[in-house]
Amino acid sequence: MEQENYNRLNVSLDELGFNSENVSKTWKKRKEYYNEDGIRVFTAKNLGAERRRREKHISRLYILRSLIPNITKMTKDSVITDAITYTKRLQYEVDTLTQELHALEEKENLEERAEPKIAEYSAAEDLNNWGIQEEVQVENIGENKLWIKIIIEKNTGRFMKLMETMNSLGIEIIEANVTTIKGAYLIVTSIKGISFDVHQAKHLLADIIKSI
Amino acid sequence: MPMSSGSGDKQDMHDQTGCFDPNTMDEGIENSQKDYNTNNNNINLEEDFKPSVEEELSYHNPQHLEDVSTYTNGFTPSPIDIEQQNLGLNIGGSYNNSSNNDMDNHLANEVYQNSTWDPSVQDMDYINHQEHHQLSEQQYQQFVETQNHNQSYNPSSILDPSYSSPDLLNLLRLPRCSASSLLTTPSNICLTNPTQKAPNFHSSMSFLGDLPIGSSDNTSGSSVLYDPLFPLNLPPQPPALRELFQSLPNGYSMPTSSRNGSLFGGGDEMEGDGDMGVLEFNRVTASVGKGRGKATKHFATEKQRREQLNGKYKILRSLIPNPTKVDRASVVGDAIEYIRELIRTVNELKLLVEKKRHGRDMCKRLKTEDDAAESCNIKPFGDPDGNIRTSWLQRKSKDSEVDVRIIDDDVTIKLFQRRKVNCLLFVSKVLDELQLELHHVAGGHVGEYCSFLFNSKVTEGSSVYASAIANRVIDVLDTQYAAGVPHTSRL
Repeated sequence: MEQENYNRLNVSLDELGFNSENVSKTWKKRKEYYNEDGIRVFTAKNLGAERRRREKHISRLYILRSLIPNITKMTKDSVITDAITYTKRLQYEVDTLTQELHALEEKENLEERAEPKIAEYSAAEDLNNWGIQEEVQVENIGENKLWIKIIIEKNTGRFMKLMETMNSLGIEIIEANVTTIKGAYLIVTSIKGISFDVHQAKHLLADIIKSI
Repeated sequence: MPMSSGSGDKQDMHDQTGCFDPNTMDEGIENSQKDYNTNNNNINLEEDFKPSVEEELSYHNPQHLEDVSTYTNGFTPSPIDIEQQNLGLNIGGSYNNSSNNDMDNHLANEVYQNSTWDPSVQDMDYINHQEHHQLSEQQYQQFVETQNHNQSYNPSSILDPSYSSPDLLNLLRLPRCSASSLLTTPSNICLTNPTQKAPNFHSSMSFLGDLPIGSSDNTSGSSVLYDPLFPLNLPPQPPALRELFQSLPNGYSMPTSSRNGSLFGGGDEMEGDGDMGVLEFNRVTASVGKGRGKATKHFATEKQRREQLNGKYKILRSLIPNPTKVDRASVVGDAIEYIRELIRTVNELKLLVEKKRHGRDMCKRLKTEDDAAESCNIKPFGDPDGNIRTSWLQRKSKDSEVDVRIIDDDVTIKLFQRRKVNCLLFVSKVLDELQLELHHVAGGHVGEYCSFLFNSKVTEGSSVYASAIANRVIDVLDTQYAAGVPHTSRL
């Protein structure tokens, strides 16, 4: 009897708390019957799942409550209400901080232009210092697939230009692995889409590198 | 029993179904006011609403006006007036009774004592509950008034058109019907058990809208409810009043022993409705009939409360970017993640702003000492307060996922896209625009998907932040996905 009452209690709580979108689904799961007192009660067909779903929901509500700094009432409704206000407040803070950051950046840009620019890092120097040579290596790894290794001097935007050029030639990159060290890019890719042989590809790439 | 001239209107109003029109109610009160005045009673609507239960109860005993008059100021209402009065009670009619205070306190004590009633009588059928909560409504009104003596009770709030609801009217109709059919002797003190009342009430229900002046045989049961000697009675009024007390506002402790207590665990919380008295009452009545079917529980305010809660869930969902599922649990889950992300973003931005300010200050300070060009190059090692800027964001769109992690200067971007678009190119473009130096790239196409990882460094002096990166990347991916067609091999 106690268990039954407990089930009834939970079900009735759930009844009142049902999301309107879920109502149709859950009403189907219910079956109505008359218990021994002749009272109409509702139970759910799959009580275990219902309970688990409810507990999942409630535990998440607790987590939400823990995130929010000032909670006055410990009810379900107030958690949601406080969450809404807190989220809005945070969004507002993000906006104001972003604007502030932009303003500061603008100021800084204006100021910097008046000053001499910092000496740029010279990649070419590094290459020479470390004896790294620019190189292109191409291998055939399957029908229409090539394996490419490129070492080039690292300059801003160079990789992007390489990609652009390759794309415009219709080269599809299957996989890519890029790393930088001491002023050089090491680019290892597998490509497909060009029906060149190894030598032709090598020349093509060398031309590309010169152009970027 | 003299029928007042205005009774015709009230009769019409009683026959109305569903809609509670406060204007007619006002009118009705005015009419009954005339009656009262003719009966040499000073009833002032502007006064504070403090009825005594005896008076209320006496309104339902048209047959025994002599006895009634001993308790009141010679007030002789008609049955319709009584019903009107009853309604008037609920919508703020006020009555002048010199013996108010004494009776109030006495009744309050009585009512309070009765809170330990036997809960086993909760299982009654619907009509009994209607009966009970009608009484409890009166008692509750009484109780609220006595306890909240100085609290300003604004009767006009009930007259707010937006407040009224058909359910409430239906509730109020019942006592009208039953009152008109009640014929009791004041001396008829009977402690009937609830079940016995049922047939009486049933028969009284049949007199819907009637004005029975002649005697009926439904005496004993109803008398318990509307007996002017109520304070001396101890009728078993279990569930409704218990819930009443459990849902009382203003510092009264809420015993959650009963199941209803937990049902209205947040009972002192008022859902945006200023009128405490009747709203609380309605919540009580919603709990009455617990264990019944669904129909009896759905009173107006309970539905309102549910709808409000659903509305709040919708609002929460609207705040969250990219909500996936509609159900409540996932809304809450998404909200949790989003709030955490917002907190991280706020911290990151605060740190960036601090850095900027500090960096500029340092620059200016050093300028005065050393060479301008070199000193501005120097970035303070770590932050003044020792915090390293960290950030982590995830953005998901229909076909792409982006994960951005920033630790100090290093930005790690992971992306995952469902369709094969030339993402490597576009993302590297974005990185250039954002002034991120590419340090490492790894990834490739796997079947239908492409997955890449970018390690980059933030250029000195740039104050790009995580959400900016993430948003840009995902925008690019989405637009390219929408617009672009994968390049076919032409060569």
